[in-house]
Amino acid sequence: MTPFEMGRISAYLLKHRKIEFRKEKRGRHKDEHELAELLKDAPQESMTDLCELMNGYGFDLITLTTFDVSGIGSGERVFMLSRKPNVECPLLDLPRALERIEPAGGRTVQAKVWLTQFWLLHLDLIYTQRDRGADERNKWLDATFTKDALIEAMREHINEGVRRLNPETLADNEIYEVLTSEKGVSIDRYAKRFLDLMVDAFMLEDKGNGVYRQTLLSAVEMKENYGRILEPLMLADRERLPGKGFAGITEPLLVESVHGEGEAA
Amino acid sequence: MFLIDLSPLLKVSARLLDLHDSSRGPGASTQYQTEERPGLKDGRYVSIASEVLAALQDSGKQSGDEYASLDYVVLQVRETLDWAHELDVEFVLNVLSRPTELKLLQTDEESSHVIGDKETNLVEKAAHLSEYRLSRLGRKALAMATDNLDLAYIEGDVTKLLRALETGKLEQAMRFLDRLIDQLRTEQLALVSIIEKSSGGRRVLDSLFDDLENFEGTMRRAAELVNKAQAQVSVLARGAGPKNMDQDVPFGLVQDRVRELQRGIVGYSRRLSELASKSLSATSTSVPAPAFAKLALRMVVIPPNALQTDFILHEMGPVFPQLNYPMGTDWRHSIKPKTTKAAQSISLDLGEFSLPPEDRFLEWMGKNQTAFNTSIAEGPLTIQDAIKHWASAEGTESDFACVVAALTSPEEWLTIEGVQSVMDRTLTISALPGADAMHSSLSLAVISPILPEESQNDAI
Repeated sequence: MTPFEMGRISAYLLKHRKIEFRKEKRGRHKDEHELAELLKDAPQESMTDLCELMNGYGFDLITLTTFDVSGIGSGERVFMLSRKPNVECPLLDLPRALERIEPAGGRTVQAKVWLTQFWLLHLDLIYTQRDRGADERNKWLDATFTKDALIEAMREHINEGVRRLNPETLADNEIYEVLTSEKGVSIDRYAKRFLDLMVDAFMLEDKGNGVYRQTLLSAVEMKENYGRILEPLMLADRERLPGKGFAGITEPLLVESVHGEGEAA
Repeated sequence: MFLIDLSPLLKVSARLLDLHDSSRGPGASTQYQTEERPGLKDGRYVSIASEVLAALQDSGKQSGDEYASLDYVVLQVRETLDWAHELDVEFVLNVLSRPTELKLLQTDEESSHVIGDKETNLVEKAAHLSEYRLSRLGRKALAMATDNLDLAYIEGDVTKLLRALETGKLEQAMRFLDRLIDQLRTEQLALVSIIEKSSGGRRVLDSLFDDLENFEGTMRRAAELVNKAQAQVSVLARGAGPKNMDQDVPFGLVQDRVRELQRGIVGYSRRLSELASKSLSATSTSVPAPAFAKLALRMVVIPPNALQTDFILHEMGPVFPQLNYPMGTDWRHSIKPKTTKAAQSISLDLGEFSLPPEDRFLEWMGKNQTAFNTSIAEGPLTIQDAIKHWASAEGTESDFACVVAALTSPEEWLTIEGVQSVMDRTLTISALPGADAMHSSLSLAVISPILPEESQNDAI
């Protein structure tokens, strides 16, 4: 693999987050098959170099075959960039995602609230309600939900959960205010924006008729990153398990690691 | 007599029988109405059938396919199923020996037509006697029911592959490879699902593998056999294989598939070890899935700070690359040049070859001929002027040599008529880069024709 080819592959990967070597070429990006063949036939040293290059960008280059996960045919390969949980990738841009949720300027807080809440509820649909652990990558083909189910989940979350909280204990709580100011029409609008955003960011696939399915990339990142990113936040819910005492230090740990990474970058 | 399990045959043919028996007309609803299968709902007749077929198989082996009496069959069946009545067994034998006609659509290259197939009886009944034996289809059915696709027998399957490669039967080898890879993938993905499910402390079902250590040994031996198959492929690649090797199957394809199988077996063994270590560390069978909706509510009660939210979304949420950097490949094949493609020029490396002096002079003269002609036409061109014009300042040694050659051999290059070369003995000094040159005076001039006796000077 020449430096020029490595450059083309890394540029494509950064843009699309995956390169698939499939026997069926139809409906795929014209460069993808060519780059996939380069990757498939690349010598071990070149792959090591490419992996290190991607590590430098803050990604793990993961190769999956038919024996690793469902949805990959015999002789096919999928190469994908998964974000490293311990490194903040400088090439990724969160504000652009927030603008998709709330295009009006000066409403970043609202955008973050809706994005985070919808994101967690969609995970609830494809993990919690299916009794699926975060490591269960292999079940990605069955991880479908409908737009209506997501809207209903958010409506129930706000009406049955958030609105029943004691408002006196939540003074100046931005998240509470944003969610409870919803008058019945915002949920549909934000749900659409969220789903479109997730599709464009390669985390969900639009299967038509309001049905969405988790992508393999999303399942891979959940398996790779859940333990470092989200599990510490869950600890408080698992009071019966050993390790309860660590829940209290989650927040400082998280914040410190972000500070640390930021300074390093 | 070993136990025969007919349930796989029953399962695989149940839906096909429904389709065969369906009376849905063209254009009717696509919904399938669930058909009632009342029966006794106790599975007794299928159970008796298993014993009947096993008894007939046993009797056939002992007697060389002689018919067995009803009494013998009843006796054999009752050894295992003491509740089975003689009449039950006779009923089962009657059903199994009755040929049902199936209507099947056969398509060949030119047409398609429906044929009736009556060869469906699993048992043959002797004419006029209550004696029975297995039919050809019955034997096939038992072979299918006992065909063990368990991965524990992979060793034998890989041996078959090795033999096929050794005898150059690539087509057969490809069939084995396809089946093995497919089976290995199914088993491995099932194993992956179990391992993933057991992550987070869930206990793996104890009954999953009776003897994990033994199974790991099987996979290790299978891996060694695949290595041998790989070596055999290398032998074939060198052309040292059998002469009657199948030529229809692309050899590279076989190589790829053997490599894939090798990776699969190695991966499976690795996962078995992973499962074993996870089984040891498992603590509970009831670890719940992560409760994301609860976390969403907790985030309302105890809001995370902006840094935390950004970190979570940045690391796991939907994000885009920083900017859309244009890539060269974005424009590939989309921009066409306006001008036609320049003709290809052939670039030759002349190495140390240098032009002969005559060619160098002609080349130099070709560049300066017009200037010479103009100067001569405007008046006499003296050697001093020529040196000053072409060889001083930026001129080289080669230019100086060419000027001298031009002035002393005008007949070689002159293209205008009536030019005469005149030389006198006056010495003149001309300045050249890095040196001065002293020379006689020499000039070229256009003159009108003169008589020979009028000539005063030396003429060339």
